[in-house]
Amino acid sequence: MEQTAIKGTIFDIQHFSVSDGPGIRTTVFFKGCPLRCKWCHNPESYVPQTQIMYVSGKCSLCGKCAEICPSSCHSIQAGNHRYQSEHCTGCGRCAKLCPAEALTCVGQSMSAGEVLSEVLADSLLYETSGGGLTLSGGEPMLQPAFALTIAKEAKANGLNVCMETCGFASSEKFQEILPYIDLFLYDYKLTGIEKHQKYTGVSNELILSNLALLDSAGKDIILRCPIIPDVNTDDDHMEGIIQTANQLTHLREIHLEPYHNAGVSKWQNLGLQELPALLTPPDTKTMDSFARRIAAGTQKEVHVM
Amino acid sequence: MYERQKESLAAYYQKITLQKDRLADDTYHKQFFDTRRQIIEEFETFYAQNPDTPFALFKSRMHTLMAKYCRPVIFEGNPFFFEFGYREAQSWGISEINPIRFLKQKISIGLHDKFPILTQCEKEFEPVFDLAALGICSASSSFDGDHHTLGYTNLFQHGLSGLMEKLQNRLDTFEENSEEALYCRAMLESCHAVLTIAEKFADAAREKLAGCANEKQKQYLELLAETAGKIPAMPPQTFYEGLAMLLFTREAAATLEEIGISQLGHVDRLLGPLYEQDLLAGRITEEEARELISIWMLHTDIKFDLAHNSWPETSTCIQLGGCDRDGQPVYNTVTRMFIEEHHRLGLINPKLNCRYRNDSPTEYLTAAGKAMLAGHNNFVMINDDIIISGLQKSGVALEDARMYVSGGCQETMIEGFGHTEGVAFYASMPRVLDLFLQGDAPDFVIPCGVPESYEAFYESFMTSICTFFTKMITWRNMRQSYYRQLTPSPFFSATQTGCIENGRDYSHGGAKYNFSTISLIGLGTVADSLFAIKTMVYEQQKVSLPEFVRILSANWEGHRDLQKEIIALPKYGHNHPEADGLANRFLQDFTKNLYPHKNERGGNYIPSLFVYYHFETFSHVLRATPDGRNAFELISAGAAPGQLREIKDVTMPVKSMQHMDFTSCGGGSAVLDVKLPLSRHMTPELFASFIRACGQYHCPTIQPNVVSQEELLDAKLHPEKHQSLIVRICGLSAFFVALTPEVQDEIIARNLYQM
Repeated sequence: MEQTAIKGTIFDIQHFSVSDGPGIRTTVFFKGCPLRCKWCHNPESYVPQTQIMYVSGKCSLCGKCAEICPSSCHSIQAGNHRYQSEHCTGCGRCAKLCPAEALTCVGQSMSAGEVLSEVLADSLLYETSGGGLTLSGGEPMLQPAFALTIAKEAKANGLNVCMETCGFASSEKFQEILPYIDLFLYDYKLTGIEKHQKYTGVSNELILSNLALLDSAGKDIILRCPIIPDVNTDDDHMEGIIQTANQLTHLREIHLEPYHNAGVSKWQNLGLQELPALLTPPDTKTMDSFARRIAAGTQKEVHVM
Repeated sequence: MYERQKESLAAYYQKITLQKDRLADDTYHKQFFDTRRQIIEEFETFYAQNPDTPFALFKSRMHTLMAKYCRPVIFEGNPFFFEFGYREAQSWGISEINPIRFLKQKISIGLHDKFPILTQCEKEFEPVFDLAALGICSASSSFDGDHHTLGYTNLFQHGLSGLMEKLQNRLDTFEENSEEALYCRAMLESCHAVLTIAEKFADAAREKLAGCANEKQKQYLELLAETAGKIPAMPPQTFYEGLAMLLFTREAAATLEEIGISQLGHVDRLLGPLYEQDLLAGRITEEEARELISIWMLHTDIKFDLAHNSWPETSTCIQLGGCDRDGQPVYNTVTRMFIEEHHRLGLINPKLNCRYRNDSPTEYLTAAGKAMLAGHNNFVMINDDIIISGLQKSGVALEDARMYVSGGCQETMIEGFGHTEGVAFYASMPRVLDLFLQGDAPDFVIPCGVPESYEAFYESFMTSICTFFTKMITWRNMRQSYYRQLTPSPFFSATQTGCIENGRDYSHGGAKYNFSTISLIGLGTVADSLFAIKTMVYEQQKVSLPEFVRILSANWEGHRDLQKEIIALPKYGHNHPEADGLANRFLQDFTKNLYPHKNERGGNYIPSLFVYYHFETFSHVLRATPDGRNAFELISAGAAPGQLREIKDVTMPVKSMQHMDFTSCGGGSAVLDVKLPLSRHMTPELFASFIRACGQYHCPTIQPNVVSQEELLDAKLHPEKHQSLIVRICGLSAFFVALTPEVQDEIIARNLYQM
């Protein structure tokens, strides 16, 4: 277990997860993501460092945080709490002190062993349901050695292991980890290099070549497609999904994930200056019509999540 | 068909609904009370002539008179016979107007004359009412008027005639006029009365048949005329007869004995084979069986105006699943039909008490899951391994233990083997701890002093709490040994193994098993309090015990930082081995100390950890507790964790249970409330897996709820939009919108484990 001393940054471990792969699962959310999707509802997953989250509704304006913060991120001005995150080092002193629990730490450093012991505690739930562990994020492949250790040990303990990935990581690292992953939940966000670059900040070439790599290695794949109004609801993208799906031999299902705006307040809470565009979530009818179209074009199971 | 029945039953029960002390319909009121008067007059004559008759024979005499004057009610188009016309609609335990009530009152007066010591005894019992006022216990009733199950299996096997034959044979072996012989005579007389009433139903059906022109209605009346009398005399031969047996004998016992018979039977175990036989012989179709089941289940909800009832207890349950006496798993078409019809009709009662174990078929758990996930929050899932092993630890034979059922809420009863007195009393352990620390009720709870180590503190608390319970039990036994004279139940006892053999009533220890159950309230609060004292006072020495006690009596005023630090400590139910271990140690030590106590029937006291709504009243008199709780806030419920720290997900308390050994409760039920995630991806199959995993984590009884916080909040604001929202609370299910705002708030607060 010496290797399991390796540390990584996690922003959540979700137990009893029923939408991140088969059965009842535990999903480990890795902090840090190479993409900057314009619609992201998990902005706390962007940077790999620990961050402070501030919920104004809970704040009692006591000012204790302003007193203790070594980087002067907090201030009380004219009866308002101002939180500026640019200089925050994530030391967490303010969160520890905050009597109203308005400040919390997002992200904690954990060893692979610690993560595993929390995951293995749910083994009986996996056994009875055919579930297991899901590595998610953020992007788990941004901490490849940490992810590899966890996946390896989980497999050694007989767990089913899934990985949710955006696919933007080195192909060698995917090669290394793929023997320990049973199922990839692989993002397919946009069709076309330029569009991908525009809305996520990166090109999709590496992503598509990694997808082909996993498929040729014989790995089970579920394609996860976020559906974002006015961004990727066009015919080209629907065709793109169908074409990509038809090129894969080991594709099991296609999941369509309608955009939701539940994460918008998190941007403010993190003290981020730039806010994401607020879009209207697609209605069920629209989603169902996309699902029917893709199912007809691929002969695969399509689920609206 | 079902809808017509619903209307006709509703019309009848509306008329006999008790409003203050009158029945809603004057005609019925007059009829009820005229009959009651006739019975009482005749009884008084008998009493005057035979004042020294044993109490059981007074009761059986009363049964004879009730049979004589019974005017059975037959509902048009209903194949069942169950309405004796003696109780008001809403009665589930002790009825206000039932003639048998008079007998209890009369004997009660006689009892004081006969046993002057009883008056003395009651005087000595008075402090217990002070205790109740202090919020330590509930001691308002001297009887368990609920939590009984009739010996249905004995009735199915022998028929009432078979049991009477057994009785007659046993009677012949007793010395004439011996106590046992007289008691057997009472049992015989009561059984005769039950048979007479059944035959009266047949007579009434025949009478109606004469003037009936409707072919369909004729068929039902012919069926009734043919069946009533044969049932309950003979063992049921068909599915229909089985249903008729359960309903008729349950109503007979509840009406004649004045004890709540909360269990309608382990229906799939008893009826499954009869249904299969009928099906093979072509006597029934599944559709017909479902119709019978739906009409059979209808009779409880319809008596109570549940949509406008702020505390809709009906104490009516059925048992499903589990295993039979040989240990074979029980699951069949009847199980599925009961679950599906209950869900389809949107019923609240009978409550669905589902036993499960490791080898319960997935199909069974999935059927329950399907209804649950659609918001039919009417289930409890009871872990056979915990209850059966527990009962064995209490000395119950394995085959007998397998016959357990549960009800009013989830109280364990061994069907056909006596009475386990579901709640002898409730006791608030946090209140005992509070008085132990504060030392201001030394007459009841030995004060704490200043122990030097945590071990010394713990020992001292254990001694104090055990001394308190010994006192409670002594008082109670003393009082019960006289008061049980009031409750001989010769018909009920005739169905319980042991009573015929011993020639003794169940209330006098005649049955094979004679437990009493004490319901312990606030395990989580006490365990967390002990953990806080251990850590803060003795290990980290952040505060001295006397100072801590002062802080608590001042409700943390000026010490909010300490309170915050304490709330952040590990808590029971959060899968923390040390915190859970402390709770378990407390439970094991306490039960060990409780076992030597015997009740007035010679049986053991066993603890249970479930809660009725009393825990709210217990909470609202309680000062701040060492776990970080503010004064008057809610204490923990049943086997569930306290509410000071957020429970992030449902797996947390479930995993905690592996650190607990609830079999030490000796069969007493421990109930864990869980809130299941409302995800579209949550399937009945996953529910089944979850329940199975709960069993493997040694969870005791699971009381699940599937409802969103948003819906609860909206239902409180806009009740008109949520008329059919069902929630599970404290051992019963209810329409959320009918509950009082206080109870609604409590449910909202307790609706933990958001996903």
